[in-house]
Amino acid sequence: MKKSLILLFMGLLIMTHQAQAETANEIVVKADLKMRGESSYTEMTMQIVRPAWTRSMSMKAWSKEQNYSLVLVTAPAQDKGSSSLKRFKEMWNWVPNIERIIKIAPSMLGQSWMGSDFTNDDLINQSSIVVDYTHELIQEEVFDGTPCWVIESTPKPNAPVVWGKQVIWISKGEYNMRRVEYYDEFEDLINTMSTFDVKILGGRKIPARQEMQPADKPEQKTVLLLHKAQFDFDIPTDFFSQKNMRGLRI
Amino acid sequence: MTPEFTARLAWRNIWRQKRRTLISAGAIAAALLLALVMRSMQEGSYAQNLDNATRFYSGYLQLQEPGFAENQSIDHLLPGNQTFYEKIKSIRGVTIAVPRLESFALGAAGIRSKGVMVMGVAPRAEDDYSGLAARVRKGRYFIDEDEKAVLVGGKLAEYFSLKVGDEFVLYGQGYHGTTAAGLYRVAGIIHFPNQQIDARIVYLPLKTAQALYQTGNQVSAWVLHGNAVKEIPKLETSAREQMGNNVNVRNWADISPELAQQIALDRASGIFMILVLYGVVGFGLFATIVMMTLERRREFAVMLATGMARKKLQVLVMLESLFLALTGVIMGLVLAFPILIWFYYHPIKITGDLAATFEEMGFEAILPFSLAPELFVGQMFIVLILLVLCSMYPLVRIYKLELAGALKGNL
Repeated sequence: MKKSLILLFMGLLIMTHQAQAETANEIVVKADLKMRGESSYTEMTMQIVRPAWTRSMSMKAWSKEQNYSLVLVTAPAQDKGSSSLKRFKEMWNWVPNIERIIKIAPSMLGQSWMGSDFTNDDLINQSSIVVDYTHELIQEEVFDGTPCWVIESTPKPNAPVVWGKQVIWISKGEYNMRRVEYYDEFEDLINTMSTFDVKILGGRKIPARQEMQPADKPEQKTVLLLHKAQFDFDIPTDFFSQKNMRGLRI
Repeated sequence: MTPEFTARLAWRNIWRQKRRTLISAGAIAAALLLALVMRSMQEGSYAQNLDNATRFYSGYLQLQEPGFAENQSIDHLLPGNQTFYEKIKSIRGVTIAVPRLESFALGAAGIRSKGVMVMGVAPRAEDDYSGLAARVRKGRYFIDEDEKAVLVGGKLAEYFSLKVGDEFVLYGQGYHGTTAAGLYRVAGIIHFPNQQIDARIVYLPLKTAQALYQTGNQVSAWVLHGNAVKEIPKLETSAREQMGNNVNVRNWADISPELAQQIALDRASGIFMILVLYGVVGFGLFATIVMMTLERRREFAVMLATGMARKKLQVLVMLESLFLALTGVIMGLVLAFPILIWFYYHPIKITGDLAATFEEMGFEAILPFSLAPELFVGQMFIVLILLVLCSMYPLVRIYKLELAGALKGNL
C-alpha cells in the first residue's frame, strides 16, 4: 500500500515535471486532439457577415483521426445536402443540384469555403497543423482573460499547406486554441481566428464560438457557433466515402 | 541694316556653297522623312490595334460598380437592365455598350479541376462587338441567349481533355455568398493567341452566367466603345458626368496596364531610334555650320572691322543656320506629306505568315498611318532644338573673334 502510494506520488511528480517541460509540439497535439478527439461529431451554424449582407448556414461535421472529415450542409434549403469530404490530402465537394462530385484542386485549398472567410484548408484540413508544421513556444500571454501559451508554427519543407506561418494562442490547462493568426509566405497577416464562450460540449470544455476575421477587411467576418458536440465514438472509415457523401440525408 | 536685308543676306550666304547646303538640308529632310514615316506608322497602328485589342476585354472604357476593381467580387455589380443601358447610350460619344458578367469559378471535368475565368456575354451583341464567334475553332458559337452551354479556351480544353459536347462543371461562389454550381455542355472550343487567357477562359451566355451566380439581371461591367481612340479622354469625362458617383469609370489603360505598358515601351524604342537618327544628322548639320563659320573668319573680321556690330553678325549667322534647317524641314515635309497621305488612305496590307499572325492576334493585317498634327509638331521641335544647339558654336566663335589675328588669317 505504502509502496504504491509512493509510486503514485512519484508518478505524479514525473507527470507534473513533464507538464512543466511540455514542448510546443505536445501542446499543439493536445489542443488538436481536444478539439477533434479520435473521432468527433459537431453541429454548428456558420454566419457570414458582410457590409451589405449576412448569410447563415447550418451544418454537421464528422471527423476521424487526422485523415478523414466530412461536412454536410443542412440549411439553407438551396445548399442543403452539399457536402465536403476529405480523405488524407484529397478533398471533394458534392453539389446536389447538379449531382456531381467535384475534386478540389490543391490550388483551390486556399480559396474561400462556401463564400465564408474560412478557406477550404481551414475547414477540412485542420489536423495539418499537427502533421505539417513545426512549433516553437515564443511567449505567454493572457487572451480573453485566460492565460495562454503563444506558439509560432512554421510549415515543414514541402508541406502541402497554404499558410507561410501560424501563431497560435493555446489556453493553459484547458488546451483550447483561443486565437490563431494566419500569415502568408510574405509574413503578412491574412486572417485571425478567435474563439470565445468556453463551455461544456460533448463532455469537454471547449469554445463554442469561433470568429474568422480577414486582416484587410475589418467590416467582414465569419462566425461559427457550435451547438452540439460528441467525441471519441466508433465510426467506420468507410463512412468517409464519396458514396456516403452523396447519400447523406440527415 | 534692316532685318529684311539681314534675312536676304543670310539667304544668299547659304547658297554660296550650293552643294554643301543641299547636302546638309537633304540630310535633315531625309531624317525628318524617316522619322515621320516611322512615327506615323507607329501611332497609326497603336490607334488601330487599340481599337481592336480593347474590344476583346477592356473596351475603351468600362463601367463598374465602385467596389469591383478592388477584388473582382461577384457582390459588386451594376444593373443589366434596359433603363441602365439607355442611360449609358446617352453618354456623348458612346457608339457601343455591351454587358459582361465576369467572375471566377472552379472548373471541373472528370476527376480534374482548375480555377477558371468565367465570362458571361450577351451572345449576339458580344459577337458584333468583339467578333467572338470567329474565334471558335471547333464546335459552334452560342445559339440561344440562355442555353446551358460553354465555350472554353483551347489550352483549357486540352487540360481537361474536353471535346465538343462534353460535360463541364462550374463551381464557385455566387452573389451574396450563395453557392454557384452549374453543369454545362461544351458548345465550342475557342482560341486566343494569349496563352494565359487560352488556358483559363470559359464563356457563357450572359443569362446563363447570371443564373449560375444567382445575380438576377446584373452585370460586372458595361464595356463601352467610341469613335476613335484619341477621343477616349473626352469620352471618359462625359461618362463620369453622366453616370455619377455610384459608377466607376475605368479606361483601357487602367484595366489592361500590360497593354498600355507594351505600347509605352514600343513608343519609347521608336523615339529612341529617331533620336539616334537625329543625333547623326545633328552632327552633319553641326559640321556644316562649323565650316560656314571657320572658312569665313576673315570675312567676319572684315565686317566687324568695317563697323558691323557683333550682335548683328550673330543674328546673321543664326538666320543662316535657321534657313538651312528650314530648307531641310520643308524638303522633308514636301517629300513626307504625299507619302503619308497616300498610306493614310491606302494602308500597307500585310500578306503571308505575318498576316496570319496579325489576324490571330485579332488585328487587321494592315499597317495604318496616322496624320496626327502632334507628330509633325514634335519632329519640327526636335529639328529646332538641334539648330539651337548647333548654332551655339558660331555665336560663341563670333563673340570671341579676335579681329587683328583673324584679319591676318591666323586660325
